[in-house]
Amino acid sequence: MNLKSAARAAGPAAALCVLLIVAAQLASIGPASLDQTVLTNVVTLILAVGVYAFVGTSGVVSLGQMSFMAVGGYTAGILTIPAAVKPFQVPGLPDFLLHAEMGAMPATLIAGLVAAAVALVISQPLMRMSGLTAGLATVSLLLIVRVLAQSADKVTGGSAGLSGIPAALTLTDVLGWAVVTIVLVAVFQSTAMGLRLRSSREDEVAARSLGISVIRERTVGFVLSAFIVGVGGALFVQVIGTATPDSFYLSITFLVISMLVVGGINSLAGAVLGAIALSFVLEILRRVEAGTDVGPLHIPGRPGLSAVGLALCLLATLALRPDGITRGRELSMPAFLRRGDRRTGAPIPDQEAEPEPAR
Amino acid sequence: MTTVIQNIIDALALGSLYALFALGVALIFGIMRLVNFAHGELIMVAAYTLVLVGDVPFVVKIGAAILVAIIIALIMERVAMRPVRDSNPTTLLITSFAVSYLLQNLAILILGSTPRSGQVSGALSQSFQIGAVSVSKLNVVTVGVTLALLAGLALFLNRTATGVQMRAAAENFRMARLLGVPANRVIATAFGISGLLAAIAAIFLTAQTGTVSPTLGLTPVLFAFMATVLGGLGSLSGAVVGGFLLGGASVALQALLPVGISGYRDAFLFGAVLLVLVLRPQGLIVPRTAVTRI
Repeated sequence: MNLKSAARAAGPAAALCVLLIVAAQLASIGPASLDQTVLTNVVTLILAVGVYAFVGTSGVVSLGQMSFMAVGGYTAGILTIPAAVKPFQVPGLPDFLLHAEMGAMPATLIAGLVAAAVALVISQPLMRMSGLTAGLATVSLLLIVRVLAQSADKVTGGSAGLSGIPAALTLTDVLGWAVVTIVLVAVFQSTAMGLRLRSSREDEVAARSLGISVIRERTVGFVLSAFIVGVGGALFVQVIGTATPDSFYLSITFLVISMLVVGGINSLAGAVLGAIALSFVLEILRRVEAGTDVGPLHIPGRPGLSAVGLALCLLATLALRPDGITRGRELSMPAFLRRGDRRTGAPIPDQEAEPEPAR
Repeated sequence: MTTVIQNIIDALALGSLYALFALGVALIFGIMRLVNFAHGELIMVAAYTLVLVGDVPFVVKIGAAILVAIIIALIMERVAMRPVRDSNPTTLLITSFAVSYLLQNLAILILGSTPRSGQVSGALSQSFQIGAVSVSKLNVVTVGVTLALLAGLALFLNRTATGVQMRAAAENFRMARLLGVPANRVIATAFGISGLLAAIAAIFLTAQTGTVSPTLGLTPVLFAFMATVLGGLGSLSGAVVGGFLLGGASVALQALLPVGISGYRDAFLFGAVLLVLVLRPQGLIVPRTAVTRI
């Protein structure tokens, strides 16, 4: 990683961050009851960016990334629940964990690192499989984590999960984490490693023929993605206050995948834009689901309507514009701001240098 | 000794069920390279039909379930899969995921999320008594019907024109079309057959558990994926072998694990599958068509 690749990534990443902050501030103009929703949506954006870090860059459709959300969520929950109440919920924990009580920031960081460690271990068998097989195998990961969460009730609280997780996060905290993750992924995909990974997405055989170790690059992407998704999970449980096996299962997986597909699965801008767009759409759907008054008409609420709406949204996108909003392109600097040739972007040679003497 | 025989019969019955799940998924994958997430919802729809159709003769119940499953499968193919047919496998996979989510939530919307109970047939819940071993009739029927179905499918794929066309399409779709194989009909037939398999699986599943819920299809489809991946993605016999292996391993684990950790049986099972995949990433049976030719 060098300054050049970081600089290349800076422009688009900054633009996305500004967009996110503006959207979040707009959304939080409103009754205080919306604050929880805005926090949840920003956390879901972090999850989408995390899933993009692997699925979007490597092309392996890993549907089981939310298992790392579970790992991160439960870790953060166990670390932040006050030591006074912990023994009642999770008596099976070792003593040093029972007495530990951390603030939000260190707990979130540790949660991300634990998720990354798990990913490192599990990536050894997974990354050797072909793309489709690996994607399906990660679904088994999701199931394994869910079974563990439900059965190890002395450690995870079982089906009821953990509750009473202190909700000490403000919008600034969560937005800060979102900015960090966006910058992290933007820099990663501009480094040589990230470029190699993205090339393996386009044509695995050609990438291999160039000497790229697809297994190694995918492992790096997988671990980074697990870290970010773990952080997202940790933030999620701190915003919601509880951690249950069902909150890390198929609904959130579907939501995050939808955000990626609607935005454009092959670009970071797609992940962010898709997350913002679908958050607003979902809010509208949820209002309709709860029952609304459109003028003189009262539309009664039906549970499940927002999920059906979301699925239809996704199907429409897949049929009409499968590449998503961004079509796989990133945000780039507008032409008038780009240095060098405005048309092609090629660097203009130094005007004051002596022209090469003809030989 | 009797417990061993019981366990073997249970393993065969469970393996048959998983083989049915896996075959439905593998059939469509072989032709379209589409991993059909929504196969679980076909099972769910058939199961609900069995329960909702009320007090009618057994044969009518079964016929209704099969009919509904096949119709929904054909509609699914026509409306959701055909527009994206030529896309890359990622788009196909996510499309089927979306269809599955849609059907699940439609079921919640229309039928409510609380599970319903229903009885498929009183006769099936009885058992034979062979010596000291008590064999449930349901298990015997499951294994018998599955074997008959597998034989029928093998005959269909090898001896009938449509079956041979399906195999040709699975091997090389474009070439098959060039040679005159009607693509739409072949794909629709594949979906229809997978609907039939889903319905039969649903009958046995509902007879075993006695309840239906909108999320009924989730676990079967996950097991179907595991069995297909274990047996080799793209191979029909691999899917069947994978299903039986998974069923056998599941019963074996249930019998051998100490009581304290038997709740983790599924975790062990899938962990074991992942371990096998470490040693043989492409699965147990690799069809010639799955090897990437450069």
